[in-house]
Parts: sequence; C-alpha cells; structure tokens
Amino acid sequence: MTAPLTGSQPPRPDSAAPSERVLLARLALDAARDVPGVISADAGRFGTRVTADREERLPGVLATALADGGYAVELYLVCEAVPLHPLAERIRERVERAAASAGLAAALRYVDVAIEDVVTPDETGIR
Amino acid sequence: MAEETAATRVTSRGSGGDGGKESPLASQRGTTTINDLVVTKVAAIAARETSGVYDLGGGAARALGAMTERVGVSMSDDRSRGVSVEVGEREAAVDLTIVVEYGESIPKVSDAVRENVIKRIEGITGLSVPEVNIVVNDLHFPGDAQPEESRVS
Repeated sequence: MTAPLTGSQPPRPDSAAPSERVLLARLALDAARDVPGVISADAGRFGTRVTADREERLPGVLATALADGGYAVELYLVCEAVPLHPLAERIRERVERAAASAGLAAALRYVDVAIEDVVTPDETGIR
Repeated sequence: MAEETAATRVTSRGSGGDGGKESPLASQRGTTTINDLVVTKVAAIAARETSGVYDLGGGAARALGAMTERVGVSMSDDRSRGVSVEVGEREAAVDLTIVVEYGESIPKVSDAVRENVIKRIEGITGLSVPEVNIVVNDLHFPGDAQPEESRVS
C-alpha cells in the first residue's frame, strides 16, 4: 500500500544554503555594481562567465576554488570610459570590504577585474 | 611569493610579451585586464574628436557603415572601424585609417590625432602607447556626404 502523497511525508528540507563560493561571487558582483563607473557585468559571448548553483545564476563573475582552500574571484565588467586602473582598484577595495563584513575575508585570495567593454555617454541609452 | 603568482597570471593572460617587466595593472590583490575592444574604442573616440578628422576607416568599411546606417541597422563594430590595436601587458600599439577634411594640414591633423589618442588611452587604460600609425585614406570635400537627390519625382 502506498502512502498518501500528502500529510505523512517528512517535511521537505529547506534549500541548501549557498556555498562560500557562491556567497563570495554574489557579494563581489553586488559590490562591483555599486561602484560608480561600472555599468554592468558581462557573461561573455557564450555566457560561460557565470557562477551558479541550483538557486541562482550570477553572470559576469567567476569564483574559483584554489588549492589552498581559498577562492579567487574574477569580475568581467562593462564600464564607463573613465580611468580604468583606479576604477579597478576601487572595485577591488569594495569587494574586499564586502567580504570582510560578511566574514569571508579569509576565504578571498584575490580579485581579478577584467574590463570587457567601455560605454560612451551616447551609448548608455542603447544598453 | 604572492607577487610572483600575480605576475605569472598576468603573463599568461597578456596578448604580448613585454620582456618580463611587471605590468602596472597587476598587484598582489589581483590583476586588471583590459580587453582589446576597450582600447580600440577609446582610440576611435579619441581620433573622431580631433578637429580635421572627418571619419575613420577605409572606403569599403565606410560604405558598408553608411549603408547599414541608412537601413537603420547599427553594426556593433561601426564605432571601431578603421582602428586596429595590439595590446600587451603594459603597452598598446595603434593603427588608424582616417579621412581628413579637405583643406586641413594632414601633418597637423595626424599629429593632433596621435597626441589625443595617446592621451586618452594612457589616461583611461593606464597602458603606454609607443606608436600610433596613421594612414590617411581619403579627403572629404564639403557636400560629399550629402544625400543624393532623387532623379524622379
């Protein structure tokens, strides 16, 4: 005899909490987007620059486990045509601050920033 | 040790070798990579904003650009036509094909383009620009770009 489908089943477990890798990717992406001069993240032509788990998909960021147990974060961004080196430093600082306030500073090894495209003022309406 | 790691990462990603010197875009906290498209676009914008430059690109590229514009199709590389860049870890070399307004001094316009392209690329990307090669492909006469009037009513 089969058990009824409802009532006697054990409660369904809540979805698993995101891994440290996904948490780092999410906070890095959010932090980068908050930096003035950053327009958007870019998943690449084939959409492969993505960190994902069952719950969410984060385009334009790759968080990768390293041999020492930490994680490297790579951000692929479209930015305004401003001095890009200082902008990348501001992004890096913002990500590191966000990781520190989330208690993940020890897990973050380095943040690579790739500027994939720049957008001029007359293009901002297009994107 | 970490410095070595960062330098290795840059070297493996860079599209050109620069004699092993460390890139200004690398730090122990991570690297900054600037796509060739970014340098191309900055060079194109810098060239276009220089007085005396009418357009960029060779005849075929401009004809195609004009046609796509006429039919309302925006090509993604319209903005970067006439520009070719070679980007290394610390430097970028730029080749430009430009059309100059008739009556302007080509040497003066070329110098101004070169200066502006170097200034913009160095300012925005942090890459140094050792050379900007310019080909003046055509001269533009006033009225050249006027749309042709229809011969029939």
